[in-house]
Amino acid sequence: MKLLTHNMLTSNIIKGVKNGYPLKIAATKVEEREVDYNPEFITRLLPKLDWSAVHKGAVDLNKAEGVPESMMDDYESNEDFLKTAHNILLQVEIIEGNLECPETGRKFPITNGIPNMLLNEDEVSEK
Amino acid sequence: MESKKLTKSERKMNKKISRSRQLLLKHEKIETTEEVSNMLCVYNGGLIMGNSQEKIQDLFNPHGTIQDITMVPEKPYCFVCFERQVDAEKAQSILNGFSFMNGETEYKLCIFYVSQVPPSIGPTTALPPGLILIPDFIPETLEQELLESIDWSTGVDQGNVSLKHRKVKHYGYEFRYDINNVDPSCPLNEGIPSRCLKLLHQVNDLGIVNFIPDQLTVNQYQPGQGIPSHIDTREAFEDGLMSLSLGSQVVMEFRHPKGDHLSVLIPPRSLLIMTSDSRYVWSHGITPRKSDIIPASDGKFTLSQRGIRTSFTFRKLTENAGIYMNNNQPVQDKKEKKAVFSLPRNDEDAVKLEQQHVHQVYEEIADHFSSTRHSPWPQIVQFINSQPPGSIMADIGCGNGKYLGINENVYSIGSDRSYNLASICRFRNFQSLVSDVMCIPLRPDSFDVCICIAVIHHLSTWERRLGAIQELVRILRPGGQVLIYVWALEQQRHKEKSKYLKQDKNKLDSNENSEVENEYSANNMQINSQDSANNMQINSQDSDTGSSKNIGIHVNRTEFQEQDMFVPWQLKNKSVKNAATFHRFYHVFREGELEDLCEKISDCRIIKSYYDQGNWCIILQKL
Repeated sequence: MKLLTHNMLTSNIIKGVKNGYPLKIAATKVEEREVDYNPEFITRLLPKLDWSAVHKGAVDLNKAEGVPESMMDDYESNEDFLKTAHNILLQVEIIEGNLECPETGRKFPITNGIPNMLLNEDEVSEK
Repeated sequence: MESKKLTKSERKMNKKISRSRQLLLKHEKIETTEEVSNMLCVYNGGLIMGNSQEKIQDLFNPHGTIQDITMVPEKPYCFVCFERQVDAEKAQSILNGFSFMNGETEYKLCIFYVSQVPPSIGPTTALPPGLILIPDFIPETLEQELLESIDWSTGVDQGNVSLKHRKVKHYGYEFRYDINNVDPSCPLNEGIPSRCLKLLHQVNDLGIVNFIPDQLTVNQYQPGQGIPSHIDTREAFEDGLMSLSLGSQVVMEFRHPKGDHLSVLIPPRSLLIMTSDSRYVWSHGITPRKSDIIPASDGKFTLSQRGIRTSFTFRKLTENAGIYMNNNQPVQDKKEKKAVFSLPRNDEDAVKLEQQHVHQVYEEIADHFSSTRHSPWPQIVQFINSQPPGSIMADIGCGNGKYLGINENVYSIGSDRSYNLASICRFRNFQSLVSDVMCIPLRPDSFDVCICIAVIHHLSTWERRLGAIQELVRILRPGGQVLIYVWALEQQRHKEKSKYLKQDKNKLDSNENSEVENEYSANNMQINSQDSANNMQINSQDSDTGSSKNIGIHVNRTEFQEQDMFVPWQLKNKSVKNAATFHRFYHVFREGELEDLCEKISDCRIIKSYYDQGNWCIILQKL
């Protein structure tokens, strides 16, 4: 699971949880896989993300070095930043570990890079 | 004139055969013969002509008992071996010149006898990636010692299980075939025998795996017995499955979801280690037959009779072993399995029904299901390709991920309720997660686009179908769009039958561009009259259990009789008698029903709704 995917995940499906975001990451196995760098793609993606959650995820993974806490205004023209973003969002993969709901502490296992977000019947929030 | 005058088409056919024959000899070194044999080369019947093993099997099976079918990767031809020469002769005379469509083009099968088994049909020396085969791993004395050490006479509590097709005994933990998992909280009395542990430390010293397994399954196969193609439960066991082979040789078949097929000869006393792709992506199985084609000393191939083979398969439980069992897939005994066969009257019943007749089924048939889903659907591809670069897309119910790699300028996340299907996506390098369409763990108002193909029709109540669509809309940003496909009750429109209704059992239709049709070709190939009889039986048994309306079982290739039903799926392969039949629940939609449902949702509007090959489809935009 990439941090970009993590950026879209929430545990607000649990009964009583409001935001459930961002999920805390406890990783036991992390890999980096090369992905073609496409500055236009990453520039278009960035405004759709919650950068503070990207930063928090990077901290959880011990990979926050060089990752700014917030996005700069001129991010589109900042090549260094775009490359950092490309790496942390697309190349870092969490293979094994857990995601943790920030409100309840409920853990979701990540196995083989796949987070299992299924809930037990009694945990599901009423809609 | 005495000799019969050939018709124009006969002359054409003869020309074609002689040309194909020359091609085979020139390029493939396959010598064909005029003499009748039990082996047929089927030109134009190969994988690149859009055919599959199932299709070939379905076509040839009616003419006699098939010993083996070999699909050769990236070739226009395949091989069919009959047990009896007379059946091969019959099949050749009936099917030679058989025409079928591959896309827009019509092709004809050219079938000739081959005198000798070509090298490609024997076991290959090529192995699937990640597969390690160590010959002569143990001496004959130890082989004897291990074989004598198994006590087959003890009861189930001692790990002995009797299966229809082979004898099985477990050590450490029982592998439960009913849930395809182990229960880590219930270790068996008998752990892995110490003689084996010594061997496992030896394996460890080789540096291929870095753990000592804690679960052992001993399988004993009589000649003629086999095991259906499968992948060992991914989340239950670590990477690195080890199998020690004792007694007879055997040829193990490895199959890739894309159709590649490798036959690997497993000699006695060898150790087979499955890692990475060979463990997670390729399925493996043993064709039930009494002999194998194996390489002979002169470089040719020869037929070798199988004897009794005993395999010791060592596995290491993962942290997540048993997770579905404890968490989301409650264990049900067989009696209970049949209890839910009437339409659910409340949410609780609906969840139960879907768990048994949707989720568990997909988990079990994942690999087979995936192998029947290759071609993305044109109108869905078009929708995905029309999204601007940098869009973020969710594919809810993504199956094997065939839509996740369509547009590389779109960031796609797939979600499926089946861990096995999500795994297949993951091994295709796609982002995937396991979640339920009723509660999607994705941020609200955040996705540019969402697709949900062939999912909503698996929900068993109106409320749940509405709830699911509400979930899809919830994750969209305002202005974002969702495309939904559901199966239609109406399989005929404007007097035009949908492709699957038109599909003739005797025709080899290789066109694969419809979800429904794919599903049907897979089903049709597998179901014979005997199975339909079984289905009926299930049906009548079930009708005893509930007072409310029972859910019927759909008969393949016919129009739907009602909106709620079970659609059977039979696991291959046909040569295994009593192969498992699974029943998936479907609610097919009437014309207008999908629109009516969507109109109940206040924060979206309908952009477009249409009919596409037996499906109702809709594009919604969030307000």
